[in-house]
Amino acid sequence: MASPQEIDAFLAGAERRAFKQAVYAVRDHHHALDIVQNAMFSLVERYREKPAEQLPLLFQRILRNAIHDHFRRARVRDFWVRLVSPLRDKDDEPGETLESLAGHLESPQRDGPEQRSSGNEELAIIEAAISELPARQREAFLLRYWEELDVAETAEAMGCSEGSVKTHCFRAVAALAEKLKNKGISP
Amino acid sequence: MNEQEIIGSVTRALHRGTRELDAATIARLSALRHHALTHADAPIRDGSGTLEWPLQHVWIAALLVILLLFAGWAYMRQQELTSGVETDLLLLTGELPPGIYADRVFAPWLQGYRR
Repeated sequence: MASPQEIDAFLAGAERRAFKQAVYAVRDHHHALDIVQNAMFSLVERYREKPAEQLPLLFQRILRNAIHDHFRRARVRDFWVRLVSPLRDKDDEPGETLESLAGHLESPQRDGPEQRSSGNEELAIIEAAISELPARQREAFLLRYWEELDVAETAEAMGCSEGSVKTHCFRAVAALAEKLKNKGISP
Repeated sequence: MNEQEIIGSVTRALHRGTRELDAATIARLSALRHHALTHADAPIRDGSGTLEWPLQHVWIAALLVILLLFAGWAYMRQQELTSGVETDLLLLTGELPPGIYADRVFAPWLQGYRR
């Protein structure tokens, strides 16, 4: 069983990457914080009895589910909004809301003054490339190479086969190579 | 650019991105962690306001809406049947108001009703 100190230490080391993962997925700073908060609550509330060495994989599964829940709730919310607002203006489509525009501004593609230096520009391009990957490819790439899970753990976290993980990773790397090449970035 | 170089380049950049998060976000994450560790037994609220319940139980809410629509339709149907019975009774007992025979649409309606 993980002690509160072990859980705290684990979350302290994982929270920034978890936040970034959520940002890459939902492209919204505030929603990403909500997702991380829910994931932290779930981990502490439901899995505090688990050994500390199981926390990284459990947290990744919880985080992934929290991101999926976010999109599911957004779809349900959109369904109800459309149902109760039949006369809604056609220009008021999802993606055009103030919230989504704010999210867009806070996405990795922003072009603020702090990102205009070449290093920051390169980081912004790479983060944008990650964010633009198909969801499964992004998940596989981040879990396998950023979180440094092995193929079996990545497959377990994603709920798919090891072969699928390898395929998603291969395609993600190929897509990233193409995007970075087009932007003139070399390792 | 080979595969390992791309992976190394991208993950180094991503690590740098996490190190360079703004102070407000880092403080917020730390506060969220502290809150989770100290209040994990409190219920987590995902939704907000009056739409919270239907958002979380969409199928039950949809079923309730369908049941309400069906109940409305059944009530209207029952009203139509009751109205038909009352009309039959009035015709059979000859208790129609005399003025109705002066109504030009009554005779065509009555012929259609008999058919």
